[in-house]
Amino acid sequence: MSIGVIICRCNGVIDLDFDKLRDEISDNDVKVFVRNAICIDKEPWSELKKNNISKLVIAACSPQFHERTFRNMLKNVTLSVPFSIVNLKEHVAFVHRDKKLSYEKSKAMIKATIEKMKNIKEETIVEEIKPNKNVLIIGAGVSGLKVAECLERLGFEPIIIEKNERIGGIIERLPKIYPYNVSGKEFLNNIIKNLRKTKIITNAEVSSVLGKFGNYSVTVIRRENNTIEIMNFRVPCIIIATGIEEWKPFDITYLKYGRVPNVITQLELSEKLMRNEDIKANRIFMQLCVGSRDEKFYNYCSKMCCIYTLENAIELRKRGKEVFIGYMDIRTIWKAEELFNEARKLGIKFIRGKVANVTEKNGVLKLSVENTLENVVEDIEVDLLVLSSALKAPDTNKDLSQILDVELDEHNFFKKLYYKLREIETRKRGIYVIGSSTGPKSIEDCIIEAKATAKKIATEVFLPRLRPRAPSVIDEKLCIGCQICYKVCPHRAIEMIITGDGEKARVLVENCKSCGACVANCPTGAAQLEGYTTEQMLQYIETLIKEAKMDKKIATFVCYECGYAALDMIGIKRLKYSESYLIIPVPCLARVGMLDIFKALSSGADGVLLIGCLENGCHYLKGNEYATYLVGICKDILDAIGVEKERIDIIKVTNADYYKLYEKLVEFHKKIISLPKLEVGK
Amino acid sequence: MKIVVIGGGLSGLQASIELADHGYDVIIVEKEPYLGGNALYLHKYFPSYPLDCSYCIQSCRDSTGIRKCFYRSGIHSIENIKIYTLSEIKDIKEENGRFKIEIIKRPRYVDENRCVNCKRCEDVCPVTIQDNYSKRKAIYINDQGIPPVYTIDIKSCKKCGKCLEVCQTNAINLDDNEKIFEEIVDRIIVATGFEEYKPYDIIEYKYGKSSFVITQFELAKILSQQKKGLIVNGRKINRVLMIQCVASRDVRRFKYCSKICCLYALKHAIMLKELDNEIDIYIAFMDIRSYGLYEFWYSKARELGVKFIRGRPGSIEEHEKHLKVYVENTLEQKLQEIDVDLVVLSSALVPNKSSLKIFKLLGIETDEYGFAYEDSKIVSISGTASQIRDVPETIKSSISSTLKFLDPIITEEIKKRREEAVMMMYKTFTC
Repeated sequence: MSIGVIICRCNGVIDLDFDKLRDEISDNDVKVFVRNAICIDKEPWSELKKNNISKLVIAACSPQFHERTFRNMLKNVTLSVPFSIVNLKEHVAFVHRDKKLSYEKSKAMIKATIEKMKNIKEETIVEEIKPNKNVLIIGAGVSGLKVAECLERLGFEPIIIEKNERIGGIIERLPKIYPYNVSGKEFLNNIIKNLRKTKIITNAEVSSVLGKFGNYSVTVIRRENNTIEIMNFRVPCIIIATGIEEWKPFDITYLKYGRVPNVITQLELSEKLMRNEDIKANRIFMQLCVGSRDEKFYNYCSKMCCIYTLENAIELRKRGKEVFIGYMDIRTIWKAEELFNEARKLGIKFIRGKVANVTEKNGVLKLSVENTLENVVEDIEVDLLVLSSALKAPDTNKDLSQILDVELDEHNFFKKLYYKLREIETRKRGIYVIGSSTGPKSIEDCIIEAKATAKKIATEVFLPRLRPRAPSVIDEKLCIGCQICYKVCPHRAIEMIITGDGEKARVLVENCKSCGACVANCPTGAAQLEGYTTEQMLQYIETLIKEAKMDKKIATFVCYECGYAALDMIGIKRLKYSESYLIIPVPCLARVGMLDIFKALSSGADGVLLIGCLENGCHYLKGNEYATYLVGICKDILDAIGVEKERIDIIKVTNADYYKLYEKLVEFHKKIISLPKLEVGK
Repeated sequence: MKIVVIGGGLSGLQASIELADHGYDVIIVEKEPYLGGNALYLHKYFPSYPLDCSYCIQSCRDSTGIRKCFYRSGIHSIENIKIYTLSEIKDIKEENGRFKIEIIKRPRYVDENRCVNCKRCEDVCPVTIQDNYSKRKAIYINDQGIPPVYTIDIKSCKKCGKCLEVCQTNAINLDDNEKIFEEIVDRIIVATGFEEYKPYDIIEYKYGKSSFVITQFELAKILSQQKKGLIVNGRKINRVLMIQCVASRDVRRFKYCSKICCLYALKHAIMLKELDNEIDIYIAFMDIRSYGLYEFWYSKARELGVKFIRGRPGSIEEHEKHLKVYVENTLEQKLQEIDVDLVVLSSALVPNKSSLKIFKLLGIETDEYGFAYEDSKIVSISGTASQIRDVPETIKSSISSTLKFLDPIITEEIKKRREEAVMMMYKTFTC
């Protein structure tokens, strides 16, 4: 049972007094190896293997760069040990000038990591649940049907729940869809005819969802002809495809929708065209952006209305009608521009402006249109006014979000996990969201999302290992059932269960992302995260602060995502800052608790700085938010006991903003220097 | 199953990661020295607000499925992904349902397997190259460069040999040669991407003639270097005019709407305002197409005081200390003269130059502009090679482009490989 410490010289960039370092950190259990270029040289790794070590500390460059490289190296020499990396390159060698202080910082970080590694337990591998081949899809619109088709091809057996009697959603009502040039119905039929194993249940709603990724248990209620049928399903994944619906603009009273029969919405017109109904009107005015791009109703753009409005206008124009379109901006993005060009060629009249008033007399509508290009109010007489009304989230989203325990955004659409990369996922693992459930989408986008979701599910569910690396564990004996962890968990990976001993929290292992929010907030220490348990963290902090022999020390909690990356980037740019910053990496700032901050101060740190991801950018969703509250509370406490509250601070950055972080490091160090030495116990 | 991904930009990388996660062997062929494509230079992205950095990569392998910054994604050390940078496809031959591809790799002059990125060569290199967008030595590395190894710009290198002296791992070879590799693959993903059209031919806008008329992509590169205020070619910029729909929505050039230029013009306007609130920004537009939920950016820009002019500038005059732009304001129906320091053109987005060759080799049909049409069973088009998309759409399109290659039957070999990869993850406690 010994710990190996391998230190890389990196061609002389990491330049410490290695003999002294070896003397200081070696003991019976700790063996030190100083080598060069361990990322390319295999020899030191085979040496480690020979020395029979059981745990490993690698002091080299950023784990962000080379964690995987080192793992491959270990695999090559068939050495299977838990390891931890100390960054002596980007966090020390590239950013500090003073050799002596750099040595102290490096030594302290290595020693602290050794202390932590001593207590690390190897994970025991637990039996995995075997997911079945069903997937539940909520909503039978184009996205829902398409994803079912894709999943079927991969061997799944999807179940589609539709709340209405008919399937097809909004697309079924469109006479012609862009850019496919077929009717919505035809397009859907082409998908439906491929569905063989899919079970479609109409008139049904989801009433409850329990369980975790790989094994959700869902209750569905089906209402038909006054009978209620209750069904239960077990599924590994759930896909939300509830789509979007047209807003009925009763609230814009001057447009007289619902009061005058020849004022209709665009989709109502589409339905008429779809049924091949004869449109009696000769002069038709279409108004875009009714309720959308409007602060009073829906402040977003509904994206699709420009396109289906133009399709309808072109169709009517071809039937010889006179068509006007009132618009703010025509948003025919990408090649849909050709529709706009065609419409203009056909002689459809575009008026930049809005209908301000409607009066009706004997079936003729008199419109007052504000023309913003010519700055006049025009009076136009038409037979039919068609309103391209906003597309909005269905009202049922609210209930559904509660049942599924996922979030909604400010427009009542389902919230995506992350804007750039993870638009089809939600905060709960195994619950996907596709199509217009997250905002207005084109049909092409819906198809793409459906395919992408099928791919994700196939990779996640079919292949082994549903469990995360080192999930949180809650000790039932210590748990007092206070529900704090249940409430703070950003990924909803904790459930409350009733035992003979009262209510207890339990981790839904498959959903856990190991951020440590529960550990930092548990009042009794029942929740623990291997590698970052309360004990391991406190020991790390104490060793780190006490071992570093320097004048001023700043405990720097760095989240392992954007914070660490930004700090690395300062190193890569080789900007210089003070050696006082002693790095304490955490998976996410959510793991930092009050205990950790005060432990740092009581061990001798003069200041505490937290570095985390940008607002809305936390990789674990809520960590930076929690940390901001925490810093506020800690400041108040310091204030109450008469210590300068400027000693604690937080900064939220991304690696593109490394310079902002650099300025903060310089400024915070200046502030700490200006403060007197913090006397503990005074 | 072995799959080659042509193009190592955002889309190609996402497709590669998805396939590798599923247990397939992937080969990435990228013509530039570093992976990343357009995204590497664009610094910050919409749609998240506050703007965060260029992009990250997310793989199921990072056991918890947490996304990683591009540069720290470790994509270069995933065992079943093989990366050819500085490489181009010379030939593709079909043989019994498989493809034999010939790859030409241009010399990097630094051995990818020996360079440890210690930066000592950069310190001693006597040649400095500086332009508007960056300052670097003749031996250089991109900040977020993957693979994390140096490259020598042989055109500016003086061959003084100083880097050879300091390199302790003997990674540098100034006599490096072009190499040819052969790979046999089963499936092909084309992710050649897009580029910005350089509007030299629109004479009235003086692009290429005046050093204060630049494109949006050039502005993005400049913005990534700015710390306080905006300085271009030594001039402090106080007034900026952005011109939308340059060469796009233009019957003589590109009839389509380039879709995302409105969005990044708004993004840049907001970034400039955040950099220096004193800068006056004008955007001359035909229609602002901040579609869907992106309407937020339009509202935000107006809130920050960006001025919008509906109209198309007719001409730009260059004066000694400023540019004079004549715009016909169609809302106020008057000819406006605006004096600005910098004009930024939101130029059309077009398919990448090199994609045409690939499409030809593979027999993929394209539209009149060179965007690829529907793909076949063995070739999949990913990302912006088939149409202009924003980042989230590109990501989704790349994931979906891999779908048709997935086998409904998961073989034991793939299962085992993935189990191994994931098991390795279990051993690390980085702290």
